[in-house]
Amino acid sequence: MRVWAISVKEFLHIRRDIRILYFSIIWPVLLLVLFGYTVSYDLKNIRLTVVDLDGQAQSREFYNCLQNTKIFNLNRQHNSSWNGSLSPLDKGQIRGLLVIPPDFTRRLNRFEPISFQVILDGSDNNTARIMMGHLSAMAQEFSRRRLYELIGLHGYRAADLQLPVDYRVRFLYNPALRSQNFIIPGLIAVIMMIIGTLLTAMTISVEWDRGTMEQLMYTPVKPIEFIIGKLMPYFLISLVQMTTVLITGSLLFHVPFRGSLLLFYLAAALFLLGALGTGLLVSLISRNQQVAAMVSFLTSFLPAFMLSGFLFPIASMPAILRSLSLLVPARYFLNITRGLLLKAAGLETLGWDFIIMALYAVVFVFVSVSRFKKRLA
Amino acid sequence: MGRILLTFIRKEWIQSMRDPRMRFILFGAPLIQVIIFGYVVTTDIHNISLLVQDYDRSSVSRTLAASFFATKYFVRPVTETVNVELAMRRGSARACLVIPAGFNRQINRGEVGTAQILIDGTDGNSALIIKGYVEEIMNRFILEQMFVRLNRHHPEIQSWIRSWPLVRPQIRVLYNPELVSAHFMVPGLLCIILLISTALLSGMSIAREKETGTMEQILVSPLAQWQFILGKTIPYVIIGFIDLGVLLIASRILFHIPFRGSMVLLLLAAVIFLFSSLGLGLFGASVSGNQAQVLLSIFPFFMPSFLLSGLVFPVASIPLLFRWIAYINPMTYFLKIVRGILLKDAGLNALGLDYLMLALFGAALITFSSLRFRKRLE
Repeated sequence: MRVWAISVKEFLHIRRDIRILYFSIIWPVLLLVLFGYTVSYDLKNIRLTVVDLDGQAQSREFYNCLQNTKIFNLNRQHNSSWNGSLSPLDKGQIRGLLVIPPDFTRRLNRFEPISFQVILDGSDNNTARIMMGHLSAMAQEFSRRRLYELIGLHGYRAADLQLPVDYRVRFLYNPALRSQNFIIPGLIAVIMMIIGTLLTAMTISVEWDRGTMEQLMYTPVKPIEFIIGKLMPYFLISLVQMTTVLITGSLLFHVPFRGSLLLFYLAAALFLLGALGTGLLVSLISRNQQVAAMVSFLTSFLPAFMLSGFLFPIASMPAILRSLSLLVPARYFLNITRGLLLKAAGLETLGWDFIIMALYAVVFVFVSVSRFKKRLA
Repeated sequence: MGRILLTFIRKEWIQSMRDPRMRFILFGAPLIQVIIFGYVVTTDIHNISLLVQDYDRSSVSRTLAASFFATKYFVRPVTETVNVELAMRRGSARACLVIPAGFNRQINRGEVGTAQILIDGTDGNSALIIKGYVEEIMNRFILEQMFVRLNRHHPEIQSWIRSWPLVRPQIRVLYNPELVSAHFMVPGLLCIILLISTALLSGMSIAREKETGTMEQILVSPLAQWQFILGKTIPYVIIGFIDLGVLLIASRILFHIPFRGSMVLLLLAAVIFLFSSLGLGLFGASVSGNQAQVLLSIFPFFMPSFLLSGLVFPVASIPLLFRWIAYINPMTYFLKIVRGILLKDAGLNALGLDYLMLALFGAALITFSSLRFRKRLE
């Protein structure tokens, strides 16, 4: 009963402050839209200047091959107009410069190997790497075409030209490789961690700062009742927020949901309990709001964003950070959301993740409640 | 006038530095972030666990499987299993190579042997990169097999194999020749930390006066409003610059990130950027009654400003509508300047426009926020 009264009071408080509703319901949806539309790994429009010092048949063929790669925004220059200057690269106007050498066609006609020079802006290493991949794939493809032409010219049998091996690549779970299918399940975990931890840490440290928490000692409310009553509204808001994100994701971006909804909410409840416990603990450790803000930023946002596998694959991290990521609860929740949304996974594959999440919830709730009692006593 | 301001700044400085936790947060947190950012954000995909289902068990099929593990990209999964379905769903295997029975026989007879590769598509980006690796390996294997076959009838083909591939790129990478991710990410992190430490903390420290009710006392004190705002923000500006120095040194020592350009130009850009970030902090303070509310009002701006600035994803690849938001985001210009100065030794002739835009948006933001703040006080 007393728990209920505290919850109602907290709800009224939240209703008065439009920021909390904005922060917990509208902002996540905006974030979802933003991530859904902007995070795309397929690069386009990469500006590449091609200086053609040859200008013969083969170099034109080569240029067409470049155009077929589709990631480049090409700008072709001929012999006379280039003075060897790299200043467009310095200024960031172009990402790369490709030079087709003067004897390109002549050497290719004689089937002599030839190299072309490429100068890339490496400051964005990812883009540079992708450009390198496309350029060498393109060169391979171009070489193969020349080889077939040559084999044809020498009058070999058709059977010789047939490739001895064929292969098929199939993508499971996300056949069209849509980035939204990858980002949105992860975003659910990140947003819940931020809201759960940051929001509770801040709202509770306001009470510590004002000293209204100590007044509790003079009321008949037990600490545990207080905590449950106080955190209940945030628990419910977070569930509503998660549902909103899930629905928006499926309506706007057609993100599938292949697993069990029941398991999903179970996982979410466990994760939230842990996140709320973390928030409470942060408010207890930090004493004032500025510290609470920075600590919850460091303990909730940063690990959930960076170390959970949300954008950056865990397998590619150095060993120390890979082991550190084992301590990040968002990692397990993310595994569960991705498993349930995309892979139709059940308890037989996600069992361990559920056990670890349950452990996380129990430990953090227990530690924060006992510290809370000690602080009030 | 100046004396009052100095005293006020000193009081603010002492007040915010009193708490040892705060001292740790202000100087320790940026270091933690730089380490995590520098090491985590790598666009290299390696350690891909590949499950091999070899139903052929011939020398050719073993050669094919071995050619995958000969690269640095693929590793065998920790637990070898026959259940592909389960291994892929659990994520213990991220790719699977299936070689059907009769593969070797088909190749020897001059027919086509077909292999299948399954890739976990959940992470579309990694999947595409993995596919690229697979194609590279398979194409090489196919060519080798083809040359083996051609060689039987036409020994003269040897010379062609030696000159393969016929056309090859000779790539020279400027500014970051080893393509280290840290060189790209850490300059970005400098911008983030400067933004967070100045916007958030200064906004919160102004709101603290409102919260404790001391705002009225300050209003009746001889302190002018501009002095109040300056006094509240300057300590965090100092902290921001100390953090900047710490980060530059740390990034030099830990990640060997070069500093090729001019220090003066970098400081100039940071000062101009502060107008924007303090403007955001002041805005947060003007719409909030306590510190928690400042955080809730400012935090939502952070993510979009990181996402739409070219921090991770290049601005040119963002869809047009959102690209316009990126163009009005001061972070975009600051980031370009910091990366330009650190990595490329870019000067004012290359970055002049970015400085101009940064100044323009900074002036607009700070004017808007201080007008709003004044109105709130009256």
